[in-house]
Amino acid sequence: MSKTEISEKTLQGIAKIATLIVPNESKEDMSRNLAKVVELFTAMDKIKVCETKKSDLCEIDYNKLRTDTCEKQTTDKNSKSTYCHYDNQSGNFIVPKVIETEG
Amino acid sequence: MHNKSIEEIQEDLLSKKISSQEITEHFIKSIEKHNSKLNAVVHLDKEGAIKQAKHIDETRAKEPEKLSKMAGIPILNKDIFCTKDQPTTCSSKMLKNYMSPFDATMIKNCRDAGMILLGKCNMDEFAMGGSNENSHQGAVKNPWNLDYVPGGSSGGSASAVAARITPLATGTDTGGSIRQPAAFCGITGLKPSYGVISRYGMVAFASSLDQAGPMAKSAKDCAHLLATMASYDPENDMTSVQQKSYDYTSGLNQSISGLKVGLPKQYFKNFEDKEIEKLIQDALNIYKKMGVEFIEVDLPDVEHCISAYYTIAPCEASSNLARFDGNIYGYRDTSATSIEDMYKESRTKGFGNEVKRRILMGTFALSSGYSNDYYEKAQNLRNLIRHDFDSAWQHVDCIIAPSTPSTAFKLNELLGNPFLMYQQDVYTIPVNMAELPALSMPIGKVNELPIGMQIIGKKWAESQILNCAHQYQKVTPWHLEIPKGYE
Repeated sequence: MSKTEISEKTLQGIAKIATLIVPNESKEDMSRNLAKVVELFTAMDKIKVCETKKSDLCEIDYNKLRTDTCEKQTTDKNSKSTYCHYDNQSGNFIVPKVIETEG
Repeated sequence: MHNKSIEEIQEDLLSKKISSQEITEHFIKSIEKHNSKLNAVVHLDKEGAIKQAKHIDETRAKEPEKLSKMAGIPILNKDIFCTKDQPTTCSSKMLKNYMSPFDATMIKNCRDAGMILLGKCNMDEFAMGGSNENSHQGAVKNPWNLDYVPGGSSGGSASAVAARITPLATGTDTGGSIRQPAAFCGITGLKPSYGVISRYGMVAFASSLDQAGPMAKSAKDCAHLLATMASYDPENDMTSVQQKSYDYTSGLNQSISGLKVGLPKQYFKNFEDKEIEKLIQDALNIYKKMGVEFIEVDLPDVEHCISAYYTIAPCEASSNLARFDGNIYGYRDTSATSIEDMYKESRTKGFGNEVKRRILMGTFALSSGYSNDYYEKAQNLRNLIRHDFDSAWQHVDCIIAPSTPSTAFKLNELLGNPFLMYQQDVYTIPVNMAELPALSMPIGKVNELPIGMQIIGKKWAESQILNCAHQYQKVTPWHLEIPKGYE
């Protein structure tokens, strides 16, 4: 018997995000399966991930995950000025002439 | 013909004992004869294959210098690789009849080498499964006993090579999908280091773990195919890595005397199946006679690999498979009355149960409030597993381990218990987590079902593990055994 429980409301919430429908006849089975998955996930709690020592062979420090920081973004005006069909004076895009003659 | 090695076929082609067309027709006949019971091949391109073979024969007659060594040799590909002239369905209703507008890089490499693309092999839907029972095209059977599974997800490829209906096949390995079916079907299968073979055009399951690889009768045949499949592809695949050499065959005759091989204590303590343990011991004794030295190594975190893998892989799968909504491509349910319902109905009806289960698992793990708890923890654990291997490499050159905890199981035996099925990957998953190369080769049989053993190498050491396996296969007969009825 699984210790963790996944309620029908939670299951429906996950299904909605995943753009899936869980039919009534599968709800119980799916909730049970997901509960087992959560137990798999929580099994990782037993492991202390911060006590890794660096090996001589590998220079990567496994204790640190990459911290992605958001760089300062360029302004709308600056980015538009790099567009080849943007007219800085009028603030409009100039539609290039593609069709010279018809027919 | 069907038990000849790649080098023997190459010699026959060069000496004009046989033409490429004759070889191709031979294997087409074998597929037509045996596939109704195996269900290993889901698309046979008879016309296309014979046309290709004729072209190779004509070129061989006029300009033989233009042909590569692999020209004229037939191959079956897992139905996960995009091919512009054959359907690519991933054995899913979602991609039924899908025709890709381009070739995967690996397919292009095989085509450029003049290989004959016979068709596509059955697989677990979107490579999710370990028994090849999760296929929209029906379950694949193990040629050693049709009541048993061939393993998965590259089960069709393994079954086809074992039954000798193709000399070579390709597979993909995300958590053991080449090595486990190779072990169950008594063939040799190699999962190369992550980055050796381009993933461009290989339908994504878990992008940080997926890797294509060769499946064949022997390590030597795998080496020939790997040399064709592998290439540096920076324009299409940012994870592709340039190798010093793409020649995997010239190192096959090096002595392995003095080689230090690690035996992970976590894998060998309390090994449940004593018969498998004995076969592994026999294989180790053969290596010992060759001068190999064995050292016990410690991989303390591999026992948690299932938890980490079944967090990371479903998270990546839920993201990768979000694109299949019936809008741009994929199965579309036309009964829905709103666009949102169309997405939901198309995905619900287009995906099979195992795929939906994994999408829900991944969505849950990535949901707001959980991703720090689960996904990041799993990534940290993955780093610990990498670190375990790094530490082991300070003492040993390669590692030997079982491929699977048991022989192949019966059809439907584990289908109702997915979590028991997941445990089957316990010996193969750590290799994917650490992005290492590993090979499974047959080392004997228990109850007339094959048993496989893994050789795990340092990153980019494909040549070394292929040589290790080749040295074993030079003095043992297991890789030459053919299931009854397919001789």
